[in-house]
Amino acid sequence: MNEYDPFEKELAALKPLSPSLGLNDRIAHQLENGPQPLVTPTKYAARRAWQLTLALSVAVVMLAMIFIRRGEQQPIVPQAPRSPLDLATALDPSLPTVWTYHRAISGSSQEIDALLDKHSHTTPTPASEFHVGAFSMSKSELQSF
Amino acid sequence: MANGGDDWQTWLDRHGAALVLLARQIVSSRADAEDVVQDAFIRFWRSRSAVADPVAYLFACVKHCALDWQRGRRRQARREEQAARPEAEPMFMGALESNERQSAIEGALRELPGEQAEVLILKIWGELTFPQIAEALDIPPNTAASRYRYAIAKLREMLAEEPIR
Repeated sequence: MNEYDPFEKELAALKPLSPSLGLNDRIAHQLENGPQPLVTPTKYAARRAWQLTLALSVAVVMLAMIFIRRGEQQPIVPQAPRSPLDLATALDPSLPTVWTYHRAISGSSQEIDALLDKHSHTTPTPASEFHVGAFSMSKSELQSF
Repeated sequence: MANGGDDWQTWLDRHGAALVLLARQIVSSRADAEDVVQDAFIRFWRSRSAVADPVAYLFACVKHCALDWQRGRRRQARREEQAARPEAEPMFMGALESNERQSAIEGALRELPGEQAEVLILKIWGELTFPQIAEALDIPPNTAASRYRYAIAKLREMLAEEPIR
């Protein structure tokens, strides 16, 4: 206070209004009867961290439940039973299957020729029409082409 | 800075007026300022043993509580505050009507920027040192000192036409 100049001393001479008696009574009442100690910053931070952890755990559990329920609700598409006929057909040497040709290629060239001749006779293709790729052409058209 | 013992009543008697004055820089009315001081004082009293400078901490509690109070009530009370005209409530003892100089000082204090006014209040009426002000307001001591000088200079300027008695 001693280093104040006259203006500062004038300010310091002004006395702020004292708190009311009511404030005094309220503080006394709260200090004497208030059972709850205030949360200190450290405790507050710990409580916040605990709440955050709890919230995250609940969120994870809920997400897991949602995924599990979705998995349960997905319709199970029954797989078409494999017909034993398919396998028999695939391995039938009389038919022009991949397996038949694969076997012929691993053999001699005469074997392939024989297989081609055989299948050209057995394949039920109309005589007037050959299927080449995606286009349908008559025999005469194909020859002129 | 004498703290006046370890009795809450002594603390309140010693600092109560300056605490209310500080709170009034932030909240609208004297009644609100007393509510703020009540909350802040309870908080201070229950945790004062954990701090290095309890006086600075007490004023810091008041400032933080006042800011919290203001934030919480801003929306609902804005219109009420404008209607209440809290500037009509005196800050200092003595009849304003009979003391034009005091009235002028109160008016000038209300015109100060908040950050300068709070430093001035803590220094003049709270009787805190600049290091204590710095701790209470969470600013460097040099900043506290410069804000105080600016506040004094501004008050002088605003009161230049007023005679010093």
